[in-house]
Formats: sequence, C-alpha cells, structure tokens
Amino acid sequence: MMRIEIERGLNIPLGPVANSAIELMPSHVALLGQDFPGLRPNLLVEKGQRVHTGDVLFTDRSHPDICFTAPASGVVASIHRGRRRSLEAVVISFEEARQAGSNISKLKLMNLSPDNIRYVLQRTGLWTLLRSRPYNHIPLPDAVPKQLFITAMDTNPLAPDASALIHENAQAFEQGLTLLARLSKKTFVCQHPGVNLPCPEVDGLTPIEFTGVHPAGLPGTHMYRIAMLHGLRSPPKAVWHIGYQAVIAIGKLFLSGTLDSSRTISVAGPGAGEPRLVKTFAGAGVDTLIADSDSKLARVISGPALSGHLVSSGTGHLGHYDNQLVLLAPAEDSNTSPGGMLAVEAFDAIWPFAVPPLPLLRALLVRDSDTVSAMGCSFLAEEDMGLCSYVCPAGHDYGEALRQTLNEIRKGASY
Amino acid sequence: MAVHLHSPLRTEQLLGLFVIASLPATAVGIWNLGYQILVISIAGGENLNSAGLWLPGVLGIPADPMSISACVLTGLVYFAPLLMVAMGTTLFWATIFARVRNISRDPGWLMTSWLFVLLVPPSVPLIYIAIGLSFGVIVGAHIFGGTGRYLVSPALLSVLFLLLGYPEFAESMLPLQGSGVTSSWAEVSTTGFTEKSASAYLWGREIGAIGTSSVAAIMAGCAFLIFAGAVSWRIVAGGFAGLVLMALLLNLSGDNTAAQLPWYWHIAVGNFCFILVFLATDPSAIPLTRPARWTYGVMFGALTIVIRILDPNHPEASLTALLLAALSMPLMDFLVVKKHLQRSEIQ
Repeated sequence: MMRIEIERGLNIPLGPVANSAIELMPSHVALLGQDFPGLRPNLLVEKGQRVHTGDVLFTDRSHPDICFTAPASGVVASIHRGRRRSLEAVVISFEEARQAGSNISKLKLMNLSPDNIRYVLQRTGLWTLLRSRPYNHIPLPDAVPKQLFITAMDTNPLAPDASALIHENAQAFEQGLTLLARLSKKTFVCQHPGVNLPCPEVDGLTPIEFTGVHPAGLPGTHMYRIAMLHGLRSPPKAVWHIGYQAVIAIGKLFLSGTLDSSRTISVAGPGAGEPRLVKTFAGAGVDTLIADSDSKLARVISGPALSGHLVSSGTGHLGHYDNQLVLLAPAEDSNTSPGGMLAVEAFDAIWPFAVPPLPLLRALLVRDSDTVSAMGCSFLAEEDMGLCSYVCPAGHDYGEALRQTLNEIRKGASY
Repeated sequence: MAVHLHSPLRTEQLLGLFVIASLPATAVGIWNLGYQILVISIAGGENLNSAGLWLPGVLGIPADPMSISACVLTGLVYFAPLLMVAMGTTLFWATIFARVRNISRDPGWLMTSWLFVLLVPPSVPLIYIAIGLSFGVIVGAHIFGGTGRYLVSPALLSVLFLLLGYPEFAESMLPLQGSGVTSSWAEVSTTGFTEKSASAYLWGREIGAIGTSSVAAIMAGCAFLIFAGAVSWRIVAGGFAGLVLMALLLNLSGDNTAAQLPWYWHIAVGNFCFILVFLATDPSAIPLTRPARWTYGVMFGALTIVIRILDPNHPEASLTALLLAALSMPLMDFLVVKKHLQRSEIQ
C-alpha cells in the first residue's frame, strides 16, 4: 500500500479521548444553514408539522435535486431565519430515529447504475455529505469528480478513533465504498498506517496511508499530496471528499433500505469532566451531549478545536459534518486588535503544502484573490488553515479570510 | 467563526522575548559602560559629565574600575535616563496613534525603545533620544500600521536618522583614553589587532554603543530567541555565513588595515552581532519565504564587511547594511513566489 509521510504539522495535546461509546438520545436535532454556505433553501415544511426520518425538509433552490432530509422523526419545533431571510436552522423535536415506512426498498447493489446511486443519495439527503473542491461545496447533482477522497482517518486533536469505528461497521463501510467508487474514476481511501481497513476489490479504488502529524488527516492535505505526486501544483478541478461516518451511513442505507443518521462523536477537551464517546444523531442538540461533570463555563466547539464553530451549550447543535464536540476553557477577555502578521518560523513548520505559506497568508489577509488563485489555493478549505491561525502570534483568523477570498474568486469564476 | 485555540506565543509575548533575550547584553553593557567611565574619570578625562559618578559615592563604594558594583552603579546612572526617555517617547507615540485610530495600543513600543537605547552611545544628549525615536517610530512603524506591517526595524531607523542627520550624535561616543577613537571598530580598523586579543571584545571590553559590548552575551540571547521560536535561525546563520565568506574574500585583496582583519575579528568587534540577532530578525520586517531569509542574512553579513572595509571610517557599517538588505527583501519574496509558480507550471 502506498504511504505518504506528512512531516510538517503539529499535534496539539488537549488530553485523552474515550474508547467505548455510550448512547444518548438528543432532545432536538437540527440542520444548520452555516454548514451549507451559499445555499438558497426552498423550505418544504413549516413549524409544527410532523416529519419522519428521511423526509425532505428543504431543497436547494438552484438545484432542486439536492434534498436536505430530517435526521429523525418528530415535530418541526422552530425555523430560525437570519439576515436577509437566510436560513439559520430547522429544529425538530426528537421522537425517534428509526425510519418507519421506507420508500426505498432493499436495493440490489450489483444492479445499480451510477445514475441510480446519485438519485438515491440525493433523495435521501446523503448527497449533502459529499463536498467538492475548489470551494468546498456540495457537488452539483450531475457533476462527475476527477478524484474522490474517502477520509477514513482523523488527526484533529480529540477526534474519535476513525479506524475503530470503521472496523465496528466494516460491512457497511465496505458497501459504501463499493457504491461511491462507481461515482468517480479514481477513489482514494485515506487511512492511518497499519489499520487494515476493509477495502473491496473494485476498479479505481486505491487505499493509501498517510502518516505523521496533523494535518495528515485532512482531505485538503490528501488532495495536494496526491497532486504533488503527479507533479501538479494543485488537484484537478472537481475533486470530492467524504468522511468515514458518511460512507458508513451510505452503506447502511443500501444494506437495510433505511436512512441511518446516527453519528458517533467524541466529547472531550480541557473543559470536559471526563472524555466521552457518544453515539447520537446527526444535528443533535448540544445540551444533552454535555454532562453534569463538564465545566459550565466551557466554550463548546462543534467540530475540530482548530476550525470548528462555537456553539451555545444550551441551544446549539452538532454541525452536519462534525465528528466531535470540544470543550475548551473559557476565553480570556482580549479586546486587542490583532495587529500585523509576524513572520515567525512556526508557519513554515506546520505547513504541509509546497506553496510558501506566508505570502499566501498575507494575500489572504488583504483578500488578494488573484494571488490566491494563482497559487492554486482555491482547493483549500477553512480547516486547512486551522494550524496557521493557531500559531499566528497576532491571532488572525485565516480560515475566515480564506472563505471570504474563495467567495470572491467564485464570484469571478464561471463555474 | 473565530479562532478558539492560540499558541502561547502571542504578539506581545513574542516581542517581550526580545527584551528578555537582550538582558545579558544589557547587563554586560552597563558594567562595561561604568568601567569605561571610571577609567576615564580617574585619568582626568575631558568632556566627561562627572555628575554620573555620584551614585557609587552616595552608597559608599569607592570609584574603582575593578569593582563590579561601582562599574554597574555608574553605568546605571548613564543608562537609566536614556531608557526612561526612550520608553516615554515610544509609549507616547503608540498611545497617540492608538487614540487617533481608535485601536488598541501597539505592543511594539517596549521592544523598540529597549533595543534603541542599547544601540546609542551612552553620553548622547537626551533630546536626541526623543528626536531620533520619534522619527523612527512614526516614519518607520506607525505610518505603516505598526507591529507586523513595517519594512525596517524602527530602532534601526532611529539610530540611522541620528547618525546621518546629527553629526554631534556620532561624536557623543565616549572617547577611548589616549587614542581619541570612539569605537572599538575605529580602533581596530586603524591600529590593527595587536593591542588586545579578540576574546576581550568577545566577552565585553568593547567601546561603542551600550548593548554591543559583549558578543558572548548577545549570542546567549540569540540561542534563547531561536529556542523560543521567536527568530529564524536561517537569518542568523546566513548573516554569519555572509560575513565570514566576504571577509575571507576581501582578505585576499586587502589593501588597508581593515581588509587584513581575519573573519573572527569582524564578529568580535563592532555592532554586527547585536544588529543581526535583535534587529535583523525583527519578526515584523523579515522576509516571508525561507530562500529569501537565507539571502537576506547572507546579504546583510556580506554588505557589512564590504562597507566596513571599503570605508573603515564609516562608524556603523551594519546599520546601513541592514537597511539595504531589508529594503530589497520584498523583491526577493516576490521572486521566490514567482519561481515557485513557474516551476510548478512547467511540471
């Protein structure tokens, strides 16, 4: 098996993670608008309406084939609107997760054409777990990727053990891989070294090991390293990636015919009383995930500590793509403005890509989208900038700067 | 989204490390300053403001150059007012600019004033401190937006401004008794190196600016800064490499006393080490890419030697060399990025 070593990076020690999972039923589940930047939703439900697992809550106005579905059955408790009537959240009060009457009968794997797979994924909402770069958005319904990256590893601090979770759901993972591999000519299963993940013998499916420190487990790192192997500055246009829990969910859908929106997440961090591994549901309310032993003042981050979103411990929800909740100590009051970027060597030491980091960061800070796209950096996502923001003495948020610059580039680009 | 986790090395702490790292050099500098003053005063030196000798007297310590406490106390009497005025000046401008721009106060004021004081001759009139630093921090730092945005270290700019604009400034160096020269570089470049051994300069018996007297103390600070991740070792290594290579090269063609000096004398004498470690590595003003950092270091070291040897009477070659190297670095960074893009284009 091919192995790629990531030498530059940084593992930030934040404490232990738990190994055995406990099950927790959330009181609410939600889909959050912030997980789908640029989405113009077409709402199909209203407040008070009863929905079942897998029912379509809203679709993308520009691409009605892409459905966003309810992760659990219950009553639509509230629909939050933000600025300019943007969608902030659709909250469902949780009753049960099991999909009662499925309209997808057991599907025969071997007979499915790529178009059928697409249709099923789009209809069940699992399509929204795929993301396409450049720009890191949900792929268009008819798009064909050049490469697909299965992120079967996680090097974020306090992340759950990806290999263990995959081994527990080996059959579903294997089915998911078989199906996804039909959507793309080339599919890479990126994993920790020596974990022997199940990998079906399918054309175009290549397992590949990434060793080393974080960000060795981020899809951005995988894409650029594979491109570098082929002597390219940046990956080919339209590269997709998907997380391992999504692959398992896809496998389960095609095995059982019902939508399984369960997620196993790690709840840990300096603000957590004891690290826990929690089996719950996509979009689960944060309140039930936080135990009494956790610090009441802790900052709750949905997603990786380096790039996740700060959520309210009372009313917040787990993000669509997040595998962890990180509880950090309360922020110190700092009302200082960041000041200019200081060129410390630490930036070079944590940067795994070939492009020199500081000229890129400076271009990001001044929103110089021409330079950023000339450097081939439109394939990066916010999470790839997490370590840069961490080591920056001035404390700039390069993830946010990247998102805004990419929006600029996307506005000017034709696709 | 905001940044939830920060490394412990924030801007303020990072700049503070420079002050901490220069403490050994400051201590040796103060002691050496007191020693020079006591030697001159015992010999009945002219032009010396002997008011500075009161402190050891009040404490009942004999004004003996061999007594460390007498030297340190005398040195402090000269050093403290310089530091007070310098810190007052930079703090004043940082506060004014913060008020006008309605932002928090720029954290660079302490480091700038501290390093500046270590680079000036000890008997400089206090008004020059205020004038020079005002120019340096306004023109050199604040109009660019302060820390992280300027091109050249404001402390460097302040010293250069005084040196070029005020001839009395260079003359305010303490003269070495008997020879009339005002810095170790001037002494060495005219008389050769027979008088003292290089190790005397290495440990701190140097005359000139306060902070530059001990190369050993400066290098201790350098090791600390590199270990703490505050400065790029590439610049320091490049600086020494450039200095040594250019010195060896000019040894071959030497046609004056200065050109005949072996390379280690160039390290031991003058302010090269201090400027390389504390000013050339200013994290606001260094190049952004690694190849440019090497080039910057080498260019600074080589230019220092070129200026020193071609014009031995030039008082502070490293200052001018650093200015030239720093101003050419945005171009170097540009070329490095362009080269990177072209290379990946071809493949």
